[in-house]
Amino acid sequence: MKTNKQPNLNEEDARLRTMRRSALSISKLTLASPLAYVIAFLLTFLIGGAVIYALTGQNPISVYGSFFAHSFFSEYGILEVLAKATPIIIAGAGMIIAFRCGLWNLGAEGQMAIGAIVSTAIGVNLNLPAGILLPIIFLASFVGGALWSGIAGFLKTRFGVHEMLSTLMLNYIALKLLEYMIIGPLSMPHPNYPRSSEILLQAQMPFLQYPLNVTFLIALALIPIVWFILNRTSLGYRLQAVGFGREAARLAGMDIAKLTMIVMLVSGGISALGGTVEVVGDFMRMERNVTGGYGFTAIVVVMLAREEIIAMPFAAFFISGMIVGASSLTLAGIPAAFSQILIGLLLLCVVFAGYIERWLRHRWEYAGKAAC
Amino acid sequence: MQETSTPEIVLEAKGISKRFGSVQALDCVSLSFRKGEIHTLLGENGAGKTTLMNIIYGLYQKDAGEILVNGKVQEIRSPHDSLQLGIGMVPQFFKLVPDLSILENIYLFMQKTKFIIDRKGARATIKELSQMFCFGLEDKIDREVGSLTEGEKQKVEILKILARGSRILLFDEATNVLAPNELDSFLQIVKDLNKSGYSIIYITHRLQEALQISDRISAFRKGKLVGTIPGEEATLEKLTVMMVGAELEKTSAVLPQEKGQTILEVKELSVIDERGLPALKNVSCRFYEGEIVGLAGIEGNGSNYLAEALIGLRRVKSGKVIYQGSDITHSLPMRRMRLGMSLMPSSNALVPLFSVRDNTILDYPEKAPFSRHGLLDRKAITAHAKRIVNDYQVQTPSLLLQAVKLSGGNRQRLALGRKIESNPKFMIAYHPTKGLDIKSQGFIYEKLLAMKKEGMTVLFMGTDLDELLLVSNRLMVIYRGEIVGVFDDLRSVSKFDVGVLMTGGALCEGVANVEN
Repeated sequence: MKTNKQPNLNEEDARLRTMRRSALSISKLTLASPLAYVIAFLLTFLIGGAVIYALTGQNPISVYGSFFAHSFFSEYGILEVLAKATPIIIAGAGMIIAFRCGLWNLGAEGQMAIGAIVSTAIGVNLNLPAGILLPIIFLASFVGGALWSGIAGFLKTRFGVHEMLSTLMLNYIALKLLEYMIIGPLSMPHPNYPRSSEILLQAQMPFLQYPLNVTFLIALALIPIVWFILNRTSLGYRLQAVGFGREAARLAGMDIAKLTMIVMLVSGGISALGGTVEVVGDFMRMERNVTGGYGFTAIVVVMLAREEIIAMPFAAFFISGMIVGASSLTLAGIPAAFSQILIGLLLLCVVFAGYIERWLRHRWEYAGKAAC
Repeated sequence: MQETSTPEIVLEAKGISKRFGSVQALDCVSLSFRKGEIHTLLGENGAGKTTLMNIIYGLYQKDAGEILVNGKVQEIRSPHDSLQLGIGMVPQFFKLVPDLSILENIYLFMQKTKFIIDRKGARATIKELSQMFCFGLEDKIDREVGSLTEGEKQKVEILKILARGSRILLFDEATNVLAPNELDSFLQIVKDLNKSGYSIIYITHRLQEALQISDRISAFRKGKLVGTIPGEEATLEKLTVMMVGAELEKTSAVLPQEKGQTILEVKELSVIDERGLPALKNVSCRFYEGEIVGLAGIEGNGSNYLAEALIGLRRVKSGKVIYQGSDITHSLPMRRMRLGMSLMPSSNALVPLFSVRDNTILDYPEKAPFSRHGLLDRKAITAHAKRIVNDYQVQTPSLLLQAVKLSGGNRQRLALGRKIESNPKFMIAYHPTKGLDIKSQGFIYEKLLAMKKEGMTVLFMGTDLDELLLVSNRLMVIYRGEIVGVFDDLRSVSKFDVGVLMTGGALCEGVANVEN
């Protein structure tokens, strides 16, 4: 069925350009199939195992065994994993909205910090009944985070500053702002170390079973909400049209600048709630490490989940399990930081496996070449 | 297969084929280039000339055939290889670092033999070359490239490959970026380079340039080499025949029709491109209800800017666009589409990773019944998609298939269906049949003609004169951002008349003027 068609070089150029662009958007096209995942996981634990054996001479399998036994096979461990996954899921949910629109919002950490600041400021000072206070806290945190990431959105739409840079830089500003708040305006009287006063009792959300807080349910509830926004609303339709086919969306007359702004606002607003739950569901106050790097961890989680909102919580549980399991590593004489190395290694392997797979597919598709 | 005459062959392409997906960009092309000649490759965009150049320069890999440099078969896998062989290209879009000086840009490109940068030597080389060919860049060697004019940047690109020691120079559509007043000096430079012994391969779609400078001219059409003729034998007519096709006498069978009411009026529209150069110059035209107006123009002459300006995707510098009596010069695309305007593009009409179904509402996701209060109605969308897939013969195993997996013809039919289903009154069809097979092309003509009968106006932009004469009631020709001809009665118009105008062969000779 080969008909002589007019060559279409511009289209070819455009295709090459898209390919190059998508090389950036790792999780969209490189992580192709479950097989790539299996290979990536095996590779990670193989390399990790080799390192364990080389460093300590211990049997890697028993080390991995104790590593995961604590996280996934003890009751307290599981609760801890779910508790730690709570802010990661929330930040990840916000991030996915931006990623699906092709916007690299890497500012979840800073947006969480803003969420934490806002919720502490209100939670300490506004003496209202819980039924009114908590909604105010969540709403205000959302607005605070939205305005914070809105700075990046404004810079992008107005001056063309890449959001990857601006959101990343805004993280450090927000974290320093948080530090200033706990030694300055929000500091508790006569602290042993920099921290805020405890938030009012009615602002503290109850624990389902320590350490798992009710906020976990909020995180879970966000998943269907974000799924609904992405798949069942015209906003979600448009933002993904821009993310998956920017030129097509432009030619269809979509106002990309306006969408970019909306998406940055919503994404930052949701991510900020990750900081809020840390304050009202865990620390009950603000400390230096209240955001705990979860905003950065969420980037890994979202990539592992291929920006799929449904898959994201599972990726979050897994990564959170690796973080929680770190303490058992020290018992085996391996530094706890090793779990961070494993997480990094896993991401590298997943991306790498995706590239290998894509390369193989490419070879395969272009195998039948035209002869003269 | 050696030629009998003396000229030495520096570069030879033998049986080169290249395919992009379903498109045969080059079909078994054999061509040889002599030492010290200016060899022009002529053809419309997409004819294959640039593909051949990219293969010779190592940017694309050929599917079949071989390349001989100085008589030896060479595998050219990247520009690095071709540069080693003494082949250098002046690209259509410059590859310069704007924040670096001329010296630094050229140095980056030169062959490095030492670890320490030999600035003095590089400076001397550049100065010498610049003086030798009257580039006038001697005093600007330390200027940042970003502050230069387009013409000067091009000279820097030329210096780059000269300094690298290339003896075979490829120029790819080099005059596209130049202002009209820079043209003559540029052609002089090419001639001077040639006199100094450089072999030059010059790619263009402009007949006049080809006639001015070529020792030999090879014409390409639809991926095939049509023929090679010596420069002195070339005439406007010969080249036009080679470029557009043989049956030049063919005219249109479409009868002129009564003009309906004015639907769109363009008044002295001017648009500037990304580089700040004029892309459209005082374009004025008028469209009536229920007609198809062809706009013949080779790519790079502004028809894409006209399409984007009319639909609101590009800012207008001056002039007016009046649609059904209301001024929409600065309206957003969404508003224009709501008023009944529509743009049918040649590619990128679909979101590749969206399903067939989801792609059927791309222009109107907010419209009832597809969404209400911001919530999508899957049932309505599915019904809509089913109708389009049926009515427009989109062959797909499932409505949920990713659009990227459709063939080109199915993609365009789907897109056209989506556009027409919104009942547009004025459709800009920008190369809508580009790259499609004959059956799909025919389908698109049929649908457009049917819509015309129902009162829709189509502005049909294209390069292929056969199709333009087949569907159009009237025809306009655009060249270098200006409407250079308007034909109201196509029965008396031949492809030759139009072809000459399209390629800048004759400006406004015996042609009806642009009406106001």
